[in-house]
Amino acid sequence: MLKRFCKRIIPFVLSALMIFSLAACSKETAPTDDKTKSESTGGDGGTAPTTEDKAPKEKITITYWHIFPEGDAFKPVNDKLVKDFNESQDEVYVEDLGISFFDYLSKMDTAIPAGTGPDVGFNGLEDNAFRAESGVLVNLQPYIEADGFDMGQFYQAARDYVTHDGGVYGMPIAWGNRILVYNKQMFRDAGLDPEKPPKTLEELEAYADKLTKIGANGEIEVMGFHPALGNATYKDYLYQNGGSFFDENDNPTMNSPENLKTLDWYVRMTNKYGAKQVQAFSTTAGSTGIDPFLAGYVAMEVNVNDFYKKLLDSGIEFGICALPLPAEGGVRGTVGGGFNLEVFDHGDEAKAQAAWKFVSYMTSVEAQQYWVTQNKWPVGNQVAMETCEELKTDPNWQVMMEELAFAKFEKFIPKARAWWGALYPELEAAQQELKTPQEALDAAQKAVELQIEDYDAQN
Amino acid sequence: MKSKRKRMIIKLISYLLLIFFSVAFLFPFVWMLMTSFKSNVEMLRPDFIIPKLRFENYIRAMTVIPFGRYTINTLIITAFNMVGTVLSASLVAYAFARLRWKGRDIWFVVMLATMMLPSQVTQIPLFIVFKNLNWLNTYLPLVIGSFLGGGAFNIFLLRQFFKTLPNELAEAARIDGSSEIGIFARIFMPLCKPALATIAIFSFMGSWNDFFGPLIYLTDPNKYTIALGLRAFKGYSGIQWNLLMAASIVTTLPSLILFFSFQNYFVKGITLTGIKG
Repeated sequence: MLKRFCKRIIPFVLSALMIFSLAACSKETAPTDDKTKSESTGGDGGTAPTTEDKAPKEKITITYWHIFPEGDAFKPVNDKLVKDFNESQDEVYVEDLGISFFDYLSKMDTAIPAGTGPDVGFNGLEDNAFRAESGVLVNLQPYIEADGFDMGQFYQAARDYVTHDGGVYGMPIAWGNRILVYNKQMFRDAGLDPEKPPKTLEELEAYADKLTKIGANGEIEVMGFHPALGNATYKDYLYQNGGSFFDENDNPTMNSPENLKTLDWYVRMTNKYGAKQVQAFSTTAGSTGIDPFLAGYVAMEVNVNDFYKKLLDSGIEFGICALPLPAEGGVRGTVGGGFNLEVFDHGDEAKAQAAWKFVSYMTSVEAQQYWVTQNKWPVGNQVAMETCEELKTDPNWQVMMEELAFAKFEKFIPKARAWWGALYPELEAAQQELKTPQEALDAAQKAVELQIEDYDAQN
Repeated sequence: MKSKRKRMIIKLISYLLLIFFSVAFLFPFVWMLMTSFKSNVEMLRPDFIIPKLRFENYIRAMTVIPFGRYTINTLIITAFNMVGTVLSASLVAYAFARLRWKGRDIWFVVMLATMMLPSQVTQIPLFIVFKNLNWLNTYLPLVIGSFLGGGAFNIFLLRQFFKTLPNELAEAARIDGSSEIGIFARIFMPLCKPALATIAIFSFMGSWNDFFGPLIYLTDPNKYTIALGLRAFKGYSGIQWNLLMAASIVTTLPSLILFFSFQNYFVKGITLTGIKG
């Protein structure tokens, strides 16, 4: 029976494959015919196809790689901006390509050494310095000066990320820092005032105790607060305690008293409600990528401000506030991070000029206001944020904008570029109570000092 | 009587063991199927109950990304790879197994050594080669390898198979006046159908599921494959597990159909070559 089935099915499958391949061959030889063009719209409905209009020959075509592939929630806004730019131009044409965020760097890492990278990339702000230093980016300063483009319109911290040795190596497009989100209904159920979120770390802990719900079998049903759930790590609480990783002279300060105070608090809060269950909880949340606040497992969590779009879509009655500070000696502001548009240096002045036109358009007040209102994702252009009428009427945006003004910039340390890699395992060891916070930070300090020694010995 | 009961008990134990392992191996697939019917939030709870069968997940998964186009693209690449691998790997394997030529064994070892090279090492040099050939953003880098030998593992597998076939067959044919290519095509190829089916299946699986190749070589979304398209559900704006699983289920179907179609040959291939798949 199976043999007969195989006999019938194999020729069928093989012939089907051959027919498909032949059809495909003929399709490949004529990629610009009308049929292929109409196919390129795909099933996505509203989003603009990337290859809809072919660039007329006299225009300079530049390529733009970003992290919004077909189906991504942020793609329509990015598409619209690219389309508007192309329509407004008679000199430049942008061809864009969306690659999943998790694969973007793999593709870049192969393309850049081979010289086939894009003209413009949607890259991380935090590692802009690394690419600038390695010489693959165009210094935009001459274009900025020639156009009289005002860099002062960007948030200071965002600007700091892309400015190195007087040169500007990227235009901050979308970024943010941390906020505390809380579930108003859970506040009410616990007898707390939903309009009065915690302001100090002490209040945060007291609220968390009230909000934590333990089921009949002793398992946690709802956790009041956990410092690592959401989108936060030790570093997001460090600056508020007045701590830092390096001093002004780039010497490591991993085990300073402020850092120790932060880690003491962080470890205590991490393990407060039973380390094992918390670990299972955060592993599930981490590996599935599903946010525990949205799933109703935590009442308060720290997250980035581009989380706002998901909050609005969730149907949860939520509140947003600044991260609580220590009652004594608190320093306002969390570390900022996000993305910038970088122009890659292919030794082609005309393309670099064309790419500048595109990146300056994408980070202009008008384009940035479209981005923030549609994507609910803060932008690097402070003027765009502060003059946007829609944001003025939204109290949540007011809270976020106030926080953004205090965003901190994390300096790139060439001598110890892998410092986080040295610190992270120590933080894990402290959380798992394999080491005391003091031991962990001392070990991290030593490891970073060693990195610097190695660097000095080699350079 | 006693031995009958003993046999029954052994049978029962082996069946129980088989059932246990089947369930264990099927579990990920069942989980995938269940997740494909849930909402994204329900997915977080490790329940076996599906509150509501959400068939719309399948419709959304098929329409959010241009699934049809990706399927056709993947089929093109897969078909060329299957044909190329079967044709070229068998020719090379035949030469290694049945022909006598100078340095044959040394070249065989050199070929086997290519299996030891991690793909990360060859990634950038290969990319630069294809760039210089002006083949980037075409399917050529993804299929050409299968026409140039089809991979060391496939050659090795077929060579071992060819070696098991009796020499008398070739000699008889030679006496009857057959050429070497005639012996290869008319006698040895039909005899090693199970092994050919095995490498065809390996080649299908490899190129159907290949993610990294299309990721680095293709820059036109119209040429994307399914494996690449599925990544749309895992992005900066979050992971849509339910849609990802629904699309993955549909993507797995051709592999399943092909496996069951070739199963007879496939199992034979494994037993005859002594290589576990």
